[in-house]
Amino acid sequence: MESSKSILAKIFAEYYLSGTQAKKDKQPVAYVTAFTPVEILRAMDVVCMYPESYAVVCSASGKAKEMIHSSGMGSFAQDLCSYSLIDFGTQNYEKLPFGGLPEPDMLIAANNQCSTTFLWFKLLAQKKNIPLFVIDYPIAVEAQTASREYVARQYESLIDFIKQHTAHGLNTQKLSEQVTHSAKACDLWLKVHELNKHAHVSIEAYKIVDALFPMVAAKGTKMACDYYEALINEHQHSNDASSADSIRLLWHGYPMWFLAKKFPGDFDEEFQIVLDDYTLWWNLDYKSGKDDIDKLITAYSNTYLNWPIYKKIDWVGELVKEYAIKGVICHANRSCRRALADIAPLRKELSKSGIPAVIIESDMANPDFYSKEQVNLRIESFRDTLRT
Amino acid sequence: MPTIQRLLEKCKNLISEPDYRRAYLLDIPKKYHGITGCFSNYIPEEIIAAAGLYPLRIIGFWDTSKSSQRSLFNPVCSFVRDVFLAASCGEFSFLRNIIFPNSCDSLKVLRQMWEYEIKNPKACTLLHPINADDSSVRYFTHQLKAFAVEMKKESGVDFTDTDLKKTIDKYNQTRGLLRQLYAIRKTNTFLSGADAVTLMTAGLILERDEYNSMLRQIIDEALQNKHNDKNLKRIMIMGPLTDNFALLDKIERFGAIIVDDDITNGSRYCSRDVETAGDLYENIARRYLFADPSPTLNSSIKTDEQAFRRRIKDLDLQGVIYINQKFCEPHVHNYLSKLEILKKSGINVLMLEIEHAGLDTSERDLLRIESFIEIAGRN
Repeated sequence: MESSKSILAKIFAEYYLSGTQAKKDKQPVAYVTAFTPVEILRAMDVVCMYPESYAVVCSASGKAKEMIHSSGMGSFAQDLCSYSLIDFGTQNYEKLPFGGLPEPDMLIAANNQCSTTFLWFKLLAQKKNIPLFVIDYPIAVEAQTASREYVARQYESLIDFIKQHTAHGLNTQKLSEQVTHSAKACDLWLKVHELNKHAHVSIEAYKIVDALFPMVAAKGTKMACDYYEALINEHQHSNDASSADSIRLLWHGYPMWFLAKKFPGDFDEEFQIVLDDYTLWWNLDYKSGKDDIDKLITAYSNTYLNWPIYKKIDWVGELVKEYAIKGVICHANRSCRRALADIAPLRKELSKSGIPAVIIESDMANPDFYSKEQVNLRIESFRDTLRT
Repeated sequence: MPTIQRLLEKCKNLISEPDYRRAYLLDIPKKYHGITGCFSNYIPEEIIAAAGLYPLRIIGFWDTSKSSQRSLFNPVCSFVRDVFLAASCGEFSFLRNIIFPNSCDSLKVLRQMWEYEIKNPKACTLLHPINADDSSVRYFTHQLKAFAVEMKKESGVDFTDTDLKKTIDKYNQTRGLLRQLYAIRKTNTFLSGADAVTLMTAGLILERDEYNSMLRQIIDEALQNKHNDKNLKRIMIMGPLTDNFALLDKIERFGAIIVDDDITNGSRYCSRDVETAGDLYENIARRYLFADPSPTLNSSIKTDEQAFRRRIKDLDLQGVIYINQKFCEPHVHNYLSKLEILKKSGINVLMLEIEHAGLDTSERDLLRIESFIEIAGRN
């Protein structure tokens, strides 16, 4: 069996090369937001590129500060999402990792994660003078037939929009394959996390964060499924005996992409982050629905950031039980307003169940908002609390 | 005190003085079955009023010093942080219910915190679409009908389409009178921009009949007292909710007149009427989705640009002051989007970032305003 490392390298290469190749072949390229139903776009032969994922690459390669500076946003850099700032920075920055993303022919945004994405893409559409399509997902959509019908009509309009700009039709067989692969990848992705349900940690949480890329950029592909199968195969029998007595921690929210191990603090045998719930936000339900389009409506309407507060709290509470978590570190990520909503209530609810939680204020991609000393102090005092 | 000054004084007090506002609201006519609080321009007051409830916009200043709550995290905007602290002190407990829009992420944070922490008065969300097209109208019409059922349950008043038409007429009258006032202000400097915005904002609190009557009196006075001071620099203000009238007053004292605005509590509130023939709920949906859009909506880029170009050309502007609340993300994007158009049109732009309750303008900002007004129109 091919190693997960080798498959991941291929996924990476294929993703970035597909963009360059698409421009050569005059194939349409769309920039999409993280929770866009790309299965539809790919079934219409549109090459999808994720500026958010690219911002992660830029941050992880230590270029975030320079690129945010290049965005020319000045004092607004304090107010806006660091992914969008990095993306605006790519327009004026020369040494881009992987040579940058190819120029888009169209932009597709969805508000099922936040409202920032469509504001950002709208500005981009204006600057580049290219078409924009925004999918509007009402909150708590599952409860209302009208909301599902509304999203269904928008998917029809999305298909018309792509036809209008590319002359490509929807290949229903390809769509079905995409949805099937997305569903399978989600099952496997959950199993990757579940490797850490046992007392022994099989795969360090930061490595799961590193393994997220195919869930985002290779959604709907067989290669993503192959990658997760290989990853599970490699780790299911490996367990870190030293972790058996560790105090198990959950990281709530976005990782810090600019840190080598994605989380701050020096975790040792005594304490171990066994799960970051953020990576499970990608574990969508692609199975509930009468047909492929209906399944996509279910999947993309029910994203974590689109859930009501109590559903979020209950979900994290369940994870705490399932993974035998003893303490939670909540990342108040200043880039994501929507994700800030649950931080204080979650901490309060966890405390009621005897699970201590600490709040770390920082950012997912901009290291300017990361104070190593302050964060370490806070984590150290949290560790003291957990010891007692 | 002349009538107009007395009316404006009342408007100012309603916005800036929490005790005065509370006393006014406690004294509203008994014909109402309770007060419904609402945020944003996308909650149709017509439906709330038809259910016999008093629609009250959540604006102004509150005493938050007694709150024991930790403030919401930055970068949630200061307006939302203030509302949250005020709510935690029970400042809104006199409301029967409160309606949230499907708006910016700061308000979505507040909505979730309300459900978890505040609870009283109970909240509901009106899911209005962010796109403006026929499919969105269909969805919004459905949501509005469900909203009407909720409001009927809340008040116990089973209103008919005829009742709804009456309240639509009343709110159309308000919008019409306000548009008339805006038209007058383009050539008549009788009313300062600060006073006009004060008057406009108080309308979000005042009882509708009283407000319409107040507007008629002021329009009559303005028509009889034509002024046009050509030495004043013609300025437009833009931004989200702008209820810092002291700041607007200071801008005008430097030799400017605010002739128009594109702010939440300004022209965006009164653009376009609700049609009264046909399905009233669909008409309301159309009005709210196709009126001058807030930056929280995904309106057409090209149509917006064309309308904005036309507007600034017609106004013969010398400058635009964008007054943004710190951390108001939709308006940062809107500012960036409009900046290029204004620059290409040769109009100077000043961006001021303020805190919601920050009534004192910093020396630095005053200096920036003064020098901006001085150079405005020199291009």
